Amino acid sequence: MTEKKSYSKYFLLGTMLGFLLSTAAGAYITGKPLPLSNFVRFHEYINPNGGFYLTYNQMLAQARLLLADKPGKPLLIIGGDSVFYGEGQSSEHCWTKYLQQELGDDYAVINLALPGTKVFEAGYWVYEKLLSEGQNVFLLTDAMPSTVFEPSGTTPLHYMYFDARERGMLLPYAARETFSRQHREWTLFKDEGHQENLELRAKLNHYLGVEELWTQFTYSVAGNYFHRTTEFRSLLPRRLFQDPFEDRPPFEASDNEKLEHGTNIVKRFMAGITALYEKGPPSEYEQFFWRRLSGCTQASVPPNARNNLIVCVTAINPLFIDELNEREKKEYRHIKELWLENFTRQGFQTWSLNDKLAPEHYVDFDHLSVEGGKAMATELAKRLKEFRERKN
Amino acid sequence: MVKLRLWALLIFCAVFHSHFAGAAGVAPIAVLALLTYVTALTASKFKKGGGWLCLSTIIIVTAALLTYKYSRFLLLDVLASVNKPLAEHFAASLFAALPATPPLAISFFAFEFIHYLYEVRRGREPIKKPQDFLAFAIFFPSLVAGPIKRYQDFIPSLYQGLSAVSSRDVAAGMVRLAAGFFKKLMIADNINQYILEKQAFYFAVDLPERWLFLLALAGRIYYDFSGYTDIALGLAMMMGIKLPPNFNGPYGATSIRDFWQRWHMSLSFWIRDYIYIPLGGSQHGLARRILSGILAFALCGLWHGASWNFLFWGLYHGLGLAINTVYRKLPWLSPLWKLYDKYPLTARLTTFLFVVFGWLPFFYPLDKAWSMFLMLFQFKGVSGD
Amino acid sequence: MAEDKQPATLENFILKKNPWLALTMGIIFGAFFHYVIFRLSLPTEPFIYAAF
Repeated sequence: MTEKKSYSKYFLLGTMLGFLLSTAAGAYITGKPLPLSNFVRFHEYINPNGGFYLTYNQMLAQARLLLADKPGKPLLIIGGDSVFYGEGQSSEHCWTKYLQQELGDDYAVINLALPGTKVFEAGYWVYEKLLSEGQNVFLLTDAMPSTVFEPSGTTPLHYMYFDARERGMLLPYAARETFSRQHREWTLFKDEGHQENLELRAKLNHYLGVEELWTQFTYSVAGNYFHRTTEFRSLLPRRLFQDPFEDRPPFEASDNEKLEHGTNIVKRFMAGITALYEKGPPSEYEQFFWRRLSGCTQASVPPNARNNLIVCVTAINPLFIDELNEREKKEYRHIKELWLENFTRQGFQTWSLNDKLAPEHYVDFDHLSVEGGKAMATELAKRLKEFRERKN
Repeated sequence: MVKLRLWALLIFCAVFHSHFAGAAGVAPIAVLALLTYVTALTASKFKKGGGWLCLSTIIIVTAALLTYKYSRFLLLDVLASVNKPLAEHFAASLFAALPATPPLAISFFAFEFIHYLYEVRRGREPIKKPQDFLAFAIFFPSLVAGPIKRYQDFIPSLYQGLSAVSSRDVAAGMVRLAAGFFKKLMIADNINQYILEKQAFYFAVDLPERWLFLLALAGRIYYDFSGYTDIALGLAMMMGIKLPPNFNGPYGATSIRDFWQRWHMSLSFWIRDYIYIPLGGSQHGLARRILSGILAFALCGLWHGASWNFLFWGLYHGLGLAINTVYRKLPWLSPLWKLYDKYPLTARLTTFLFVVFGWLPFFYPLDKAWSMFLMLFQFKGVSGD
Repeated sequence: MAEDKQPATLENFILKKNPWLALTMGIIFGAFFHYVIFRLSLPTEPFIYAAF
C-alpha cells in the first residue's frame, strides 16, 4: 500500500510562521494598555495575587493613558501596598477616588498600589520611568514596618522588576543591581524565583513578547491556567471578573484572636530595635535589621529620583497599640520616630499619616474602612496642597 | 557528517546532564557507565568468565542504586524497626558520605545499564564504540524521566537519525512535542493546582467532590507522565530517532495485566524481562508465577520511591495481577467473568477503579491513604482531619 | 510493539489531509510553542497572605 503524501514541509513552514506571527503580535501589543473599563485599581483578578502576571508595560501604559487623558496636569501615582491599594474598601468606594475629588484639577491621580508590594515597587518603577522622561509626576507610597523589610524585586512582583530593568526603563543605579543579587538571602517570603530565571524570563519577554501577548490573551480572550482565585472559572477571560473586594465593616474589638495576632506583629518588629537604644552594643540581629532597613530604601531609589517622592508612614489601628503596656507603647512611638527619621535621612519627603484615625476607621490591623479611606484622602489632599505650594 | 552530528549530540547531552544533575550527580553515573561499558566489552571477549563479570557489574550497579537511593529507607525504616541502634550507627557514617539527594535519574540509568549487561551476558553483541555507548547512556530526551531504552533498538535508530532526518520526522516529532506540552501544561499542571488547593479540604467536603479529587489524582499522573513521555519521544523523533512508547490508553485497560501493557510500558517490560522472567515467569507452575509477579511488582513499587507506601502500591498491583491470573480458574467467580465477557465495559470499569484506588497509597502515606479511601464511601464530610 | 495511538492519528490528520490544513495547523502549533514559553516562564506563586 502506498503511503499517502505527507505535507510536512507545509506544516514546518506554518510552525515557523506561527511562532514569528506570535512574536510580532507580542511586539505590536507591547506598550498597549489592557482594555480595562472604568479603571480604579489593578484588582485581584488582574494582579499577580490572582495569578494574573500583569506586565510592567501594561502598568506603565495605564499611567500614560491618564497622562494623555488629562494633559498638563501633574500625575500623582499612588504606590505601595494594600493600605494604599484600598483593601477594606470596594472599588466603588476606593479612597483614591475621594482623593481625586478632593484634589480636583491639581493632580491626576492613579492607583498603582498592589497588596504585597514593597515601598518602592510597581507604581514606583512607573514613576521612575516617567520622571526620567521629564514628565511632571509624583509618587505617594506607604511604608509600615512589615513592608520596608524586603528589598525591591522580591515576591510577588520580582518578575516586574527584571522586566522593567531588561527594557531599560529604570535609571542606572549600581547599588540596586548588587543589592538585588542578595535578595534571596534576605527575603521574607522564601521563593524560588532565582535571579537567573527571572532575568531569562525578562529577556524572553523582551525579544519574543511572550508575557505581553499571552497576558493580553488571558485578559481578553480566554483564561488558561487554574488558579485558586478563579477555580473552575479559570478558563474565562479576566475581563469578565469584577473587583472582588467589598466594603468591610470596622474591626471587632472583641475578636481576641486577631487582636493578639496583630499585637504580636507589633512586638516582633519592636524587638529588633529597642535593645539598640538600651545602651548596649547592638546584637547581630539588630545590626542586620538596620542594614536591611537602609538597604531597602537607598538600594531601591537612585538619589536623583527622590525629589518628587513622598513616603507616608501609616499608623496602625490604635486598638492594637492599646493592647501594649506603657513601656511597649513608648517603644512603639520611638520606633515610629526612627522609621520617619530613617526615610528623612535618606532624602525622602516623609510624612506620618493617619495618626488621628480612630479604631472605627480600620477594618483590621492596618487596612482602612470606607470612612477611614475618606479621612485619609482628606488629610492627604490637604498636605499635598501645602506641599505643592511650598514647591512653587 | 554522521560523526559530526553524533559529537554535536554528545556534547549537548553532556552539557544537559551536567546542568541539571550538577557535578555530584554526574560523577557516579560516569563511573557506572564506564564500568558497564568496559565490562560488556571484556565479557564478550572472554566467553567463559564473561557471564560472571557481567553479573558482578550488575551487582555493583544495583548496589550503587540501593546506596544512593535506598539507604535511608533501608536503614531508618527497615533495619531500624528491628535494631534501632545498629541502624543509627550505620546511618551516621553512611549519610555523611552520601550527597543530600541521589544523582539525577539514577533509577533510569541503573535500569538501562542492568538491561545492557544482562543482554550481553546472554550473548548479544555489545556496543563497540564508546561514543555510541555514551549516546545510549545520556541521550538527553529520555535522560530525566525515561522511557527506558533498549540498546539493540536504540543504536540502529540513532544511526538512522544521524544519517538522515526527513521533514516528515521533524514535523511528526513536533506534533508529538506539542501534544506533550499540551498534556503537561494545559492539563496536568492545572489539575495539579486543583489538587494542591483541595487536598487540605478532602475530609471536609461532600462525597462527589472527594471522588472528583480521586479522578484528579488519576488524571494528573497520567497527563503529567504521558506528557513528559511525548516530549521525550517528540524531541527524539525530530532528530529522526525512535524511542519506545510508554503509554497506550492505559485507563481503557480490561485487566491489570492489560493495564501494565499500556502504562509506563518501558518500565513494565523491563520488570518482565529482567525480574519476572529470571524469577521463573510463567514456566514453573501457578504458585511460582504468582509469587514472581508479586515480587516483581513489589520491586516495581519500590523503584518509584523509597518508602513503605510505594512498596504497598507495588504489592497492591502484584495482588491485582495474581487475582487476574487465577480468577478465571475459580468456578464460583464464573458470573464475574461472564459479565466481563458480555460487557467489556464492566471489566474496564473494575480495572479503572482498582488502579485509581491504588493512587491513594502512591501519593499519600499509608494511614492517610486508608482514611481517604474510607471517606470515599461516606456521604458527608467531617470537620478536622 | 504497541504504539501510542493518539499522536499517530493526530499526525495523520495534520500532515496528510491537504497542504492548506498542514500549513494552518503549523501556524497554530507555532503560536502554541510561543505560548509554551509563556507558561514555562511564569513566576512561582506569590503567597503574600501566607506570611500574615
